[in-house]
Amino acid sequence: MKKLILKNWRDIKARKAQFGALIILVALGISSYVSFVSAYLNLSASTEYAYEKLKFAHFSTKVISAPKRVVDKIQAIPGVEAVEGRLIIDTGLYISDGEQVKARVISIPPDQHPEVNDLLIEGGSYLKGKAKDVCLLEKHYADEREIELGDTLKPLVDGEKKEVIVEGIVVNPEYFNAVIRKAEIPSPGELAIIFMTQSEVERMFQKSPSYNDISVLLDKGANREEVIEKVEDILDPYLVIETVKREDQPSNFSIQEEIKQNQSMAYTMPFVILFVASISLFIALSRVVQSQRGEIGLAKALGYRNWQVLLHYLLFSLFIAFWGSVIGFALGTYFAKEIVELYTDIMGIPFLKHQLHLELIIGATSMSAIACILAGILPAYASARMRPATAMRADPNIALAKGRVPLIERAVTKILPISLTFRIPIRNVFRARRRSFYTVVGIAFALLLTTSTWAMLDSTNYLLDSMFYEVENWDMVAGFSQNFSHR
Amino acid sequence: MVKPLSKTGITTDNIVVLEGACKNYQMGEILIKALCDVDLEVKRGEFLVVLGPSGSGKTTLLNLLGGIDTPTSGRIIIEGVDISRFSQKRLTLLRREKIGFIFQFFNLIPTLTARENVEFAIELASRDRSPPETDAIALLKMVGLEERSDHFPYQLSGGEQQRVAIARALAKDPVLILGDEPTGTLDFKTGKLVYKAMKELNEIEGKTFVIVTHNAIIGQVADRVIHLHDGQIARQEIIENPISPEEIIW
Ligand SMILES: Nc1ncnc2c1ncn2[C@@H]1O[C@H](COP(=O)(O)OP(=O)(O)O)[C@@H](O)[C@H]1O
Ligand SMILES: [Mg+2]
Repeated sequence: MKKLILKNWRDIKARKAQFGALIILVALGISSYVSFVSAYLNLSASTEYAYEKLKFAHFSTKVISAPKRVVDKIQAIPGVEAVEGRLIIDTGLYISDGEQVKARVISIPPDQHPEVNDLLIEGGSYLKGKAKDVCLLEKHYADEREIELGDTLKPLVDGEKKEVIVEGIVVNPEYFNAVIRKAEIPSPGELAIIFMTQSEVERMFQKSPSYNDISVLLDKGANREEVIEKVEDILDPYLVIETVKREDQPSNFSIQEEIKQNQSMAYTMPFVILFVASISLFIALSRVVQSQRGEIGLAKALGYRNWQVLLHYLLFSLFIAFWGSVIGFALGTYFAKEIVELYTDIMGIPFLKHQLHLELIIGATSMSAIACILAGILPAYASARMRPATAMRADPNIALAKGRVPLIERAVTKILPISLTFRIPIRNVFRARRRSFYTVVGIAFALLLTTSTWAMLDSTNYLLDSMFYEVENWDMVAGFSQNFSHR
Repeated sequence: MVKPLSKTGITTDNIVVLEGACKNYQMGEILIKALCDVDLEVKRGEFLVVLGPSGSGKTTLLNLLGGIDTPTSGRIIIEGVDISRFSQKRLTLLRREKIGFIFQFFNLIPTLTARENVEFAIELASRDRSPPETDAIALLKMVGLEERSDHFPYQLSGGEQQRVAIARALAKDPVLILGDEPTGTLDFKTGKLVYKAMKELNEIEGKTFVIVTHNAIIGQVADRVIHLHDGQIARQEIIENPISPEEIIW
């Protein structure tokens, strides 16, 4: 067997380019699988981890105005781990005469971090209880507008400019994706999330001591629906507007959508690529077996067993499967890292969970092995089945020839007198019908792959164009605080 | 020149016996009778040449002798064992153990060197049967090619390639060496060298050869010549004084 394996190796070297191309094809399939799945897994893990660390609320109930004591009542409900009452006020932020952006002011407790929807301090420090006219600014806006510690923001209160100094830059789990409406496309420089102490918000916006948002973090295993019901009962006298569950929370909703998209890509793209790869491999190996009929006959005449010949030709597949999955896995892990970094960076997810998933290694190798073995088994079996006497009978193409001029050729040549130069390729197409069929399928899938990628790019461009030039085709928007919009 | 040695090497012991061997091929509607009712005995130590025009059934006969193919009817007995009903698996093992082949085409694996091509066969030999000196280099030396052992087939001439094939046929220390037009693609000078190598192995090592060819001149080097016509043995000739391949006038 040693020399048979040496022959494998030499044959591969003699067809470097072909084998290289096949390995790359398999590697692409595998890497797309690995990168999408592990991006999906790592993105989920990073998000989940960040949510856990930063105590992202399981739900928030919005009311017109509730007294502060409701918090203690809600805290007493079984299954509630923590409650945070807040004032959330949407207003405008003055940039310059003629330019103004949306701002959302959120109250936080002084001196200590909130129990729910915690803030991660990226720069500066948390707000002191006695400090006046200071705030914490959400990172997306700060980054986009290049706002630094000590800069002044000018929120509008009933049309009047106020001034607050930025004491810290923060990340908040409700605004990993800086949006305030579900399915909104984030535009980081257009929305400022500003955190100020409860008393400062009350003072600045002339509110009585009260909350208009109650956010709840649940115990593990608590029944959320039951808790929501009880919370809404308690808040009923204060006019409940809505309860937003975690999965509907605008930022989280769009993150989950992204993750889902990754997941669906993970289960389509790789299969299409691997399918193309295995068809190409099938064609290539069939040709190898065809061209080595004589060698197969010789090996058998010398006394090599059928399984040895079968294994010899299957080894080509296994070689491609092995390197395809090794390279594919390495590339995929690299791409996954880039994808997750890009996402966590864009979304401002502050933690990056990047781990190797054993199930992915197993998945990738078995996918690659299955695709390659399926592609290789038929040609290998054909080689093993050949009788040595027939295998060595002169020209292999004689075996292919059906000795008939195909109908289409007869029809075409009736109408057009085609020269022999054109007749022979046409005839070959019909002689090796199976090969022709697989070539057609292979090309079709290759086209499918390229066109679907282009189509995806096109439709995204179209979507963005119609979004910004047709649907949201305004140059300026007048923003009112929540109070106005509800009256 | 007379070479009496070759005669004395022949024994009365039969290596292969064909009894009423027939081989038919069905090609669609037509039944081709490639070989018909052939009786033949090959003696140990013999150098037998089968002569016949193209299509007379020479390759078919050789395939039956070597267990590459099975007869449609009749018996093939190799060293006393009837192989005509052997399964493919048993035939494979038989070829591996007992037969050495030299073909006209497709003789060497193009991606293996001369030595590796010989080793390709050595690796198949079961340990107890192969002689201790079955080392690829030693075998190549026997055909005068030890210096070319690391060359690939494309670096060798046609005659050299066939001599490598002879060395490989010897690798398993077979009881019978079969050659199908082994010099068919060679010019006469190289052809002579190939025959010289085979004759020497026959005379010195006592190896049994069955060579099929359409070239009647080759009959002069044989101990016995079988004439094949339309799948049947037309006549046989005993060559009293086989000549040495060098003396052949092509
Ligand atoms: N596998 C096969 N299928 C059909 N016909 C065959 C096959 N092998 C040989 N024949 C036919 O049998 C006859 C003898 O062939 P062969 O033994 O190859 O002749 P030779 O070697 O003397 O030229 C020829 O007519 C050939 O066409
Ligand atoms: Mg022949």
